Amino acid sequence: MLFCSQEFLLFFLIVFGLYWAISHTRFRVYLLLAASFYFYSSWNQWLALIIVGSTIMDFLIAHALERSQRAGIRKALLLLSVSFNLGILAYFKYLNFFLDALFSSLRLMGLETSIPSLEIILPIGISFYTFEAISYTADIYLRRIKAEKSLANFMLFILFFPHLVAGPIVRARDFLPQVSLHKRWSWMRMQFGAELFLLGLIKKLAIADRMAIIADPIFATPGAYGTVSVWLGVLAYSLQIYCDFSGYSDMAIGIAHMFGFKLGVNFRMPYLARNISEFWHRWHISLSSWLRDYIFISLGGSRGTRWLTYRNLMITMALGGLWHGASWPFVFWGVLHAVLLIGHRILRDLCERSIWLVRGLESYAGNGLRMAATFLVVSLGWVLFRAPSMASALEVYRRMFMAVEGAVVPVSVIAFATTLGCIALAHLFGESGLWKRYSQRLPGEALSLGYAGMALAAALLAPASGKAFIYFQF
Amino acid sequence: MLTNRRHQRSRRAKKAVLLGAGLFVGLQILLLVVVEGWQPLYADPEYGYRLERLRVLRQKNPQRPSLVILGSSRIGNGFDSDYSNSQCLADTSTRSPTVANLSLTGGTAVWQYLVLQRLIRQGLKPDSVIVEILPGSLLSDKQYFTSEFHFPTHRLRWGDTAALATIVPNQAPRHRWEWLQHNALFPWHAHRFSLLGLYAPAWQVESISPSSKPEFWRQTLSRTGWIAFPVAVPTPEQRRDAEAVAKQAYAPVMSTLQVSTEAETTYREIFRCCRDHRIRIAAVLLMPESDVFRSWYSESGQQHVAKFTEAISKEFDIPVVDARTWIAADQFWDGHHLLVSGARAFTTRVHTRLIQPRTTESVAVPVDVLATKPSLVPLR
Repeated sequence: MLFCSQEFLLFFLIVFGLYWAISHTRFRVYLLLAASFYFYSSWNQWLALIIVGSTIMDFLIAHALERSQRAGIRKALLLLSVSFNLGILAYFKYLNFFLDALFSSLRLMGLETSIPSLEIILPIGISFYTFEAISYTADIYLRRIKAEKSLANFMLFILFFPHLVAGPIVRARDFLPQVSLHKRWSWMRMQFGAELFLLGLIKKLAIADRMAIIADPIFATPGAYGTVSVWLGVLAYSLQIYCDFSGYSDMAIGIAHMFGFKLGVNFRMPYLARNISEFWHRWHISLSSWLRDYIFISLGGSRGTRWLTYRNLMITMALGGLWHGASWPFVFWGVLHAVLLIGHRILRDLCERSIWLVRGLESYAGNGLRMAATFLVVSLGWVLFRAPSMASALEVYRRMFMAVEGAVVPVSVIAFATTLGCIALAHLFGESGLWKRYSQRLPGEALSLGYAGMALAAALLAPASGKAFIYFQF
Repeated sequence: MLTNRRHQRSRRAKKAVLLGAGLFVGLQILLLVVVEGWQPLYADPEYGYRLERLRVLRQKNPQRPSLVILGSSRIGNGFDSDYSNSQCLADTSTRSPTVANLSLTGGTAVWQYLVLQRLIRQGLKPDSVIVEILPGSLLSDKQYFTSEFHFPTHRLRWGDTAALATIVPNQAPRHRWEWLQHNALFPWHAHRFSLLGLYAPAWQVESISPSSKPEFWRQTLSRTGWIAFPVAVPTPEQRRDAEAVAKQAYAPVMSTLQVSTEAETTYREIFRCCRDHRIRIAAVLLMPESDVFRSWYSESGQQHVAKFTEAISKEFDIPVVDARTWIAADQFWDGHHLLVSGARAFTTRVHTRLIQPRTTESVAVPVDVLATKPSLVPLR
């Protein structure tokens, strides 16, 4: 059930109507829980039982963890929870990848083997909810939070349908206190939620899905296209993945707001980042902060020597790459970002020695150049992320940097340029705070026109119905 | 002070949400009314443009009877209605009809019935029709009656769902539900390709099939609805490739060809509807096919087609013209779509034998006369 489907609209209207019709907080929790279970089972009812089972298991472990005072037992319980969650993830997501790697290594050693490929269905959203569960038990272990007493509240934290399948990855300390709070109807909150939902809808339907029409054929058969088309395809994919994923996040946050819940911001105009480190502070914030808090810092963070920091960065980003998908291009994508982050640290240290260089880099032109350079390297990285194989990714790179003739991807220049212009303008308005300042002064009538226009534009410009979100596969 | 400001902001938010939602719903209703009441072009561009041409023809020649061609892309390419119409108009007596081609791409029996019903509903009932029988569809039309088949409901208007219910009653609730779900709830989304094609072509998605682009139909349809095949003389490679595509699509059906009860019922419904509305059936046509194309028929398939056409000819007393062998193989693009030269040869023959002789008779034939007229033997 996609957020941008009629099926979801009907589901949402029913749940929304019932939710605000019920005044009792507990019943509202049960309603959301039932709705979330139904939402997840619309993909696969058997896999919905797995998430329920694992959630109950985490709930019990967390309670035992809280009750226990002995360090050894606490560590063992944490280990049990982490292994249990990672075990589920490893089985469903990585088993074929690991088997493939193992048998390939055996073949390299001269042993004749055949790779058994297991037919495993990947439960949707598994990477997101296992990380949420791990952070919960880890926080209890570190005594940052108390174990939730109500199973229903805890299950809602994991199962809450807006963030269930593709994030944002929520933290228990942010979400659980909101569950028990009695929520009052607020038009301002409804407006904010609806505005975010419409923004996400337009990003997904009118931009991401249209960019996919340019990017998909190029990544499917890169060998057929000429240099200009391949560059265009890579640029289109950069916009597609941003609008697809941030569009989903906006919709999720917007829906949550309409139920009175606040989820954390997941994207903060990442293509305006002036360096790769800033990019990761703006892109998929809930994942990057999770990786920072539970992997990078656990490994020692940047407290040790320079080389230890680099090692920690490398491990964190490689795991981050692997989190996205069970294939080598994702791992290399993570490694590439680690290299870029390390490179940025070295460069930053070098630049800081010259005041003139710092001033130049901080000037308008310098900032513009840095943004362009960051966007370029990030876009080059997306090739690894999108290409179905390493060979395919290398072919894309070859065609990007060697002038090659080939087929031309059909693109409407007016539509493409207008889309780019709109994205750039929206970024400028958003980043400078102009939108926030002026939108508060706009009369309700003007805003309503804007909302109807946004919904109409999304309905009109959607190239196809029912194209899934990219991050559903993770 | 603070409470007052908060109250103001809340009122503004309420206005923005409710007005915005109301405006959006209002715009959906407005487009729905426009499509249902005036503009079939948004729902079905091919039919919309053909209808527009028919209207112009009839407005220009109000005193003449009208002949409408129903069928698929085969007759859409193969019957040069421009030629036939100009020949008729050259006849100064007002008995010769205006000729309009209202065939549709993929226009099998179900679609022919829908077109006929649409014309009747819109007050453009023709005086006579030529109906194409697409042999392959005698078996494949069965799909419309199954629950797995998704009818392109975005091309339908509410009246069409009622017409469809007559011939596909078992799927009628589903068709109506799908229509409501897609066309009634979000018409701006359901008809987006037509709307973009008409008013914002730069935003039209390039990869959609040309048939979903209004611009395509506006440019390719002649003033009477004929589509001249765009390639004059194909190269041997082009023809070979086109025949391979046709073989892949049609050979499996033709080798196991049978007349499904569903297709038979639909054709009977077309003829019954013509009889009830006093629309003369000028002919039922089996369109020309190349030797290669015909070789894909199984012997029993050929017999099934012959038996079916014979039966309907007797039952409804209508002339069935088997034109499958009329045109030489080099006049086809892919074995069943005629090139311009082939279309001219075919049209001349059809016009001379079926349309021209009628100009001396009264075109609107009463029901009883139609029923007692002797059936015509297939022309060979």
